[in-house]
Amino acid sequence: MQRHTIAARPDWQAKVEALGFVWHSADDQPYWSEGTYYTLTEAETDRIAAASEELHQMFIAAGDRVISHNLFARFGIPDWCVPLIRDAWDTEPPALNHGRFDLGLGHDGVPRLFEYNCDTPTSLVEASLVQWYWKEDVLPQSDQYNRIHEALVARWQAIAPDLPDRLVHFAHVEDSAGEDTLTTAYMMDIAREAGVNVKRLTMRDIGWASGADGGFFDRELVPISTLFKLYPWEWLAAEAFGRNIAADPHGTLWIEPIWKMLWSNKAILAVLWELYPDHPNLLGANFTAPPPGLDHVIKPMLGREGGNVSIIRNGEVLAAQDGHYTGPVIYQEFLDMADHDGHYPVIGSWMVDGTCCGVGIREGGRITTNRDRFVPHVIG
Amino acid sequence: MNRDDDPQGNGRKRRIAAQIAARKPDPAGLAMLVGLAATISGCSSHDDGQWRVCTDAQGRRLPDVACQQGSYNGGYGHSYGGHAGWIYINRSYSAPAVGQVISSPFSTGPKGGSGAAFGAGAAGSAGAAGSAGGGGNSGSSGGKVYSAPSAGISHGGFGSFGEAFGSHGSGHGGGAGE
Repeated sequence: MQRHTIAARPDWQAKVEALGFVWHSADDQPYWSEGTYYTLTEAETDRIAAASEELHQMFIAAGDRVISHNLFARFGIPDWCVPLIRDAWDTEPPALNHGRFDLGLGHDGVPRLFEYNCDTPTSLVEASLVQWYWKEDVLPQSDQYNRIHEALVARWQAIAPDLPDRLVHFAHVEDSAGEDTLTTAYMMDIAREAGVNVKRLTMRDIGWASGADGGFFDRELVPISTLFKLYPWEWLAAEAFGRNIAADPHGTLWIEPIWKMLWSNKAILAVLWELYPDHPNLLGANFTAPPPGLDHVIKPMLGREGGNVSIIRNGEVLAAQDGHYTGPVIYQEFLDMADHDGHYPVIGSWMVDGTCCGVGIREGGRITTNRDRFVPHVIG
Repeated sequence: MNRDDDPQGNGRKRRIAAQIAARKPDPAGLAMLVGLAATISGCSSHDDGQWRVCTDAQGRRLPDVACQQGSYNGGYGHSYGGHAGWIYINRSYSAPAVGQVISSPFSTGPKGGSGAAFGAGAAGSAGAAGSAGGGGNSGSSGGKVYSAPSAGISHGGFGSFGEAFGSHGSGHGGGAGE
C-alpha cells in the first residue's frame, strides 16, 4: 500500500457535486481529498477481501454465541428487543446484509478489524461513485477495487421478490450537510435500478396507529410495509416510539433487520475474541480493562465517528477524542498502524451478503473521526 | 470458502473491473441522488415541507436563476419555451435535476397559498415517488391488503436522537451514519 500525491482536478468541487456529493468539505477543509491517492496491489486487495469474508463468517458464529448464551445484557440491549432479535436471527427476513468493515494494516500488512459498521454504514457515495469517477477522469488505465454499486443492485434484485410490497420507504434524519439525506437517496437510486419502487421520508414523518388496523404509516397515510432506515437500531430502541415496533400488527419489514443490533455493537468484538483468540485478523478485545502495561484502546460500545475513543499507550493517553457517548465500553488491543507520510489510513471494506465488493480509504490521525479525509485508491 | 475462482490467476480483478466499466450508473441515472443534491446545495429553496422548483411551460426543470429573471431563453443543451415559473413539490418526493421533467405531484403555489394542485395523486393521498407511480393509502403486507385507519395516527416519535446527535450540523459526519 503506497500513498501518492497528485494534482487535484481544477474543477473537482463541481465534478463531485455533479455526482450528488455535496458534503465534500467541512469548515473550509476538504473531506474528499483527491490531491492524494493510494495504490493497493492485487495481493493486498485479495488479502483484504479474504479477511473480510472470513470475518463475516466469524460474525455469524458470534451472533449465534450471543443468542445461545443469552448475552444481550452485555450488549445493553433492552429486554423488549430480545424476542424480536431472536426471531429475526432465526427467520432471516430479507436484508441487504451490507456493511463496512473498518480495517487497519499493521507493519506486517495483515488486515485487522477495528469494527463493523453494518447498521447504518455511510461513506457509500464516495466509495461507490465518487472515487470511481475520479479514477475514470484521472487514471483511466488503472483498476480499482470497487463493485459496490453492482453488488447492491444485485442484492436488491435478490430480495425484491420476498418483500411484502412493491413499495419500499426510505427514511433518514434531516441533515443540513446532506450526507444522510443523499446517502439515502443514492440507496433509493440503487433500489430503483433493481426494479424496486421507492418513496423517501424523514424519521419524523413515520407515523404510528395502534389497533388491529394500525401499524406504521407515512404522512400521506400510505402503510409502510418495508422501511430502509439510515437510523441506528439503538436509537430506535431508545426512543419511546420504538416500542411500537414490538406491537406492530402488520410487521413492517425493517432494512437492516433488528439483529444488526448484535453486529454493530462493539461488544461483539469481545465475543469474537472469546471465540477466536489470537486470530490474525482480530485485535484482542475484552469487556474488562487489560492489565497495566498493555497498550489498548477504549471504545464506547455504541459510539460513532471515533467519539469518546481513547488510546492508552505506555500507560499514558496517546490520543483521545471528545464526544457525547456514554455507557459501557470495550477495551481493544492497540494496533501500531503503518504510517504513510504521517497519515494512518483506515480501510473500509464493503460487504454485501458475505461478499467483499470494494474498499474506501480514509486517512487522518490515530483515531478515525468525522474530520478524517476520504482518499481514492487504484490497484497498481 | 473458496476464493480461488480464477484458475488462470492474476486476472480476476481486471475482469471485474471490465464489468464495472459497463455497469456503473451514468450520473444522469442517479435521479434521486443528483436531484436532491441540487436542492441541498442551494439550487432550490424549500419552505414549509416543500421544494420550490423552477420549471418551464412544459414542466422541465430550469436553473433557479430562470425564475428569478422571470424568463429563460435556453441553455444546458435544451431549448425551453421562454416562460419560467415556480412550482412546489412535497418534500417526500425528490426534486428533479435540471433538464428533467417533473413527474411528481406539484402545485403552483406554496402550501397554504392559492395555487392549484397538479400531477398524479396531488389532490389526495399521493402515490410513490420515483418509479413507483400509483400508490394511494393502502398497501399489502405478507399478501394481506390493509389500509390506514381514518384517525389516530401520531407522527414525529422517531428522530429525536438523530437531532440530538448533531444531524443539523454542517459538514461531514454527525448524523446517523457510521
